[in-house]
Formats: sequence, C-alpha cells, structure tokens
Amino acid sequence: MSDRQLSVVSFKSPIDREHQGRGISVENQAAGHRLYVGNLSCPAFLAEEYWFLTEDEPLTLVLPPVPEAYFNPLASLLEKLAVRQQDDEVTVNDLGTLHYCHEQGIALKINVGPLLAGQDTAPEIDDFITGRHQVRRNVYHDGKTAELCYRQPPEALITHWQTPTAVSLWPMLEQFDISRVEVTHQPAGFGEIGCPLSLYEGFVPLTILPCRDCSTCPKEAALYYQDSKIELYRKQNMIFYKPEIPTIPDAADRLIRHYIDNAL
Amino acid sequence: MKFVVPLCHPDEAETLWQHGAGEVYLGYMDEEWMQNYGNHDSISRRQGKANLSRPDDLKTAAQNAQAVGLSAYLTLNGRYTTPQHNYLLRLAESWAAVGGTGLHVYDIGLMAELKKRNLPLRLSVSLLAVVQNRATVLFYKQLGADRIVFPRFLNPETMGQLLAETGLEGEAMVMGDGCPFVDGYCKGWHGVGYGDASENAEDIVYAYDTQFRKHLCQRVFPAEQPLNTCGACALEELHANGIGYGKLGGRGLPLPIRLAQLDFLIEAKKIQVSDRPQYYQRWFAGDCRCYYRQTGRSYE
Repeated sequence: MSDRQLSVVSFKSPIDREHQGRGISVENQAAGHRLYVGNLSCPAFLAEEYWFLTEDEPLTLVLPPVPEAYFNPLASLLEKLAVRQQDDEVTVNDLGTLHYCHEQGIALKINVGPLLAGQDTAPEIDDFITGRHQVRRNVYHDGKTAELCYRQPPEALITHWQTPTAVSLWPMLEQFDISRVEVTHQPAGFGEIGCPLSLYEGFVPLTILPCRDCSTCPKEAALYYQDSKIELYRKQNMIFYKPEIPTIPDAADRLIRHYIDNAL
Repeated sequence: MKFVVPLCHPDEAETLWQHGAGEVYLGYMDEEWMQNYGNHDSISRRQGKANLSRPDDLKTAAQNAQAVGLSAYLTLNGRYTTPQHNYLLRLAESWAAVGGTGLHVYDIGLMAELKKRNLPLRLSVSLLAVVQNRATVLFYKQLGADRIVFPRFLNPETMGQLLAETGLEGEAMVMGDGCPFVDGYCKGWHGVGYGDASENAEDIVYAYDTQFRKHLCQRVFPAEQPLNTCGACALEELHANGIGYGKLGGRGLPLPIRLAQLDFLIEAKKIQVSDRPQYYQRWFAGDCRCYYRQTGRSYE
C-alpha cells in the first residue's frame, strides 16, 4: 500500500444529491476541500445561472467539449471564476478549450479531463485480457468453417489499452501548464511521468449522443440499454456504465465521487 | 464539390474515377501491426479486411490513383501512444515515398511528430477529432492541418463559420456510414466479428474477442441501417459554406455498393433538391436518413 494521501472530493450539481460513504474504502483518505461542478458532456449549464460562484470551497469547473455557440458564455464564466482567487481549477475536454484557456492566460489551473485524456473504456477489454467469457465457437473464416479459440492479446496491445493518450502527450501538455490529468478508468503509465492524477469514481463514459433538443433530453439518469453483456445508462447526452469497483492507481492523489444519480 | 470515396483494393482507383470520384482514401493494417496491436480498429477505426495489408498494395494504390489524377489519403485516425509512433512514422514516410497525397489524422502527438519530419503529405483532420469550435480548428492549423473533416452532427452553416478565413479545406459526410453517437467520443468496441457456423470446423482461428458479433450501435439500434444516411439534399448548402469535399463512408463495403452510392450522388446533383429524397427511394428501394436533417428524419 502506498503512502500517498488521497483526497476525496464530491461532484455536485443542483440536480445530483449528495452521497455518503459509498464506493471505495481507502486508507489515508482525507476529505478534499474542493467541489467539482459543471458537466463532462453537456454544455447547457454554460448558458444557465452560475450557482456555484458563491461557494466557499475551491472549485474545479468541469467543462464538456464546448460547441462554438457556447464559447462566449464560456469566456464570461472563466473570467468570473478567475476573479474568485480561491485556488480554482478548470478541467477541459477538448483541444480548442485547452488552447483557448492557455492562449488567454486564464488565471486558473488547467486539468485535462477524461474525454481529452484518451482512454479505451470499452467494458469488454478487461474480459479480453483475462479470457473471461471468451468461449469457443464455430465460425466462418476465409471461406471455411473454423473453431474460434481464445488467445490472450499481445502485451503491447494490453499496454496500449491501459495507457491514456495523455501519457504520450505529456511533453506537449506540459507546455500548456497542465496541472493534472483526470480519468474514469484504471490507467497505466502515470507513475512514469509524475503527473498528478484524479480518478472519477462511479461511472465510465462509453459514448456520447449528439445534441438535438434540450427540451426532450433526459436530465435524470436511467437505464438506456441492456443485454447479456452490458448494462448502459444515459444521463443527458452521456451513455455510461457502472464499473466494478477498481483499484485506485498508486499515481492517483484525488478521487472524485461522481454518482450520476442516486437512483442508480 | 469533389466526392471522396473509400478505396479497398489497390486496383480500384480507375473504376472509382470513371464513376466520378474526386479523391480516394484507404486504410492499412499489416502483419507487423496486427502482431502487436491486433486486427480490430486499432490503427484506423476500421477493423480487419477493410484495410490494405501489404506494402506493395500501398504503392500500387498510390500509383493507380496518380495515373487518373486522383488524390489519395491514408487513414491514420486512431488514438496512439508513444510506442506506436515509430511504426506510424515509417508508414507515413513510405506513403509519401510512393506518391500518396496525404493522411487523415487527429492524434496530436502523431501530428506533432509528422510536423517535425516535414513530409510532403497534406494533413486532413479526421471527423474523429470532433472539431466543433473555432479554437480547435486554429489549434489543428498550428499543427499543420490543411483540411478539417467535420463531425456528423454539425450543420453546414456552423461548418462555414468554423472554416471562415482560416484558409483550410472543409470536408463533410454525404453518404453512408451513419452513426447514432458522436463517433470521436465513442469507445464502443469495433471488433472483427465472425459469423456463427453450424458445420464442423476445418481450421482453428484465434482471437481475444471470440464473442464479438456486432458494434454497440448495431445492438442499441438494431433496426437502423447506417448505409442509408445521406447528405444529397445538402450538397449545395455544404459547398456554399466552404465544404469542397463530400465524404462517402464505408471502407470495407463491396465495390458495387460504393459505386452505386457514388453514381447516385453524381446523378442527384443534376436534379432539384426537393426531388432527391424520392430519387433516393427509387434508386435504393428504401427510405433515406438525412445527415443534415433536411428531411427532418435522422437518428432520434
């Protein structure tokens, strides 16, 4: 067990309710004095009231990939956040927003968010590595019938799956004064680069729906799709699954408790 | 507007050109890559045999395209990590050496390495980059991009706003390969997928994803047909907004299907926009699904 001090913080919004004590039990856990706000995938909050600006705790504003139409409200919000001078951060999830924050000299720490960190989050990958559920079957292959048998993927592929792109990009990201990288899935490689790492607990994004009509977009999380292999949920435009409780990587010093909805 | 068509065999260039293609694009996945990184969509968002697989095929494809005046782009639109860069850069150099025109990319680590090498290749930013704001356009321009391929969900007017005064080319989907999700953020597994057989086996094949049969989107939307997603009614509007390249999706589709889609677009351009949905119905014996919502019918 490492000696790292793990800060546990909460993601809060007017819709989500606070949660107590669920999830990973960790040693050396400290209540992080920081509040996560914003949205990982939906930009609509950028055009709404910024309820969080009067919060006493330092904030981490999580930004989704930002459509062009939301860039003016974003610029205004970042200015308001910067004047708080309360050790606030912004977590960005697209290159344009990252570039903008850096070019504008926004007086906030900048984090790379999960959508920009570049992880392979397909839930089947763990089964590919271990062989779980990979039963034999007869298939058609190259004009013949063949028995399809499991073989473990190459080590290089396993390493690739587990290594977010942000690890490879770290020399470039350092030029943007990135403070930390945030992920939702068990990552590898961060110990080598010495980059502070946050892990979101409670959900893993699998895909995102294109925005259509906000008035019909579900604001509360609900089951979206289910078959024998997977259970997916949807909240707003994000499709996600609930992971098995992971091991917290040694390189992580912040755990973000983000329960998409208490109903789950 | 030039139509950009998938090329899946090195000898297809002339046929595609004869049917009106203005540009071709292709993928490549050889034994060296597969041994290390598998045969799913690890190198370019298309698995298995949608890709050429031998160095000689790349050379032949490039030369055949050049012979009929077609630009040819190699698709390297995966997310990559440092151990993969050496291979990819060698591949890019080979592509340049045989006369390839450019690369479809979006990984900024790879783009930074390509920029250092100053290869004679144009860089087209894949729709997997999900370029939806002007700051991202300008960032990619700094990295050497010559063209932006816009994501499926943007409308032509927004594409025009993002491109304006950048000097970059624009490309957008106009046929096939519809996706209900934002492709660039989708981590659904794209495996090879073997069909079940009831006969006794004559051979053994190995895979790490023995149970994969369908993409996530095909399971969630089983009734939908991505082939019939079409942008024919938006061709003029796209062009008016700076989109000079209309992309046909479907690397790996049989040649007759790609030719039928290309032929349709060529003919559709000759008739009034309002008549094109019915024309599609007659041509393909089925309803269309609109990329740009002109007919009001799209996913969800």
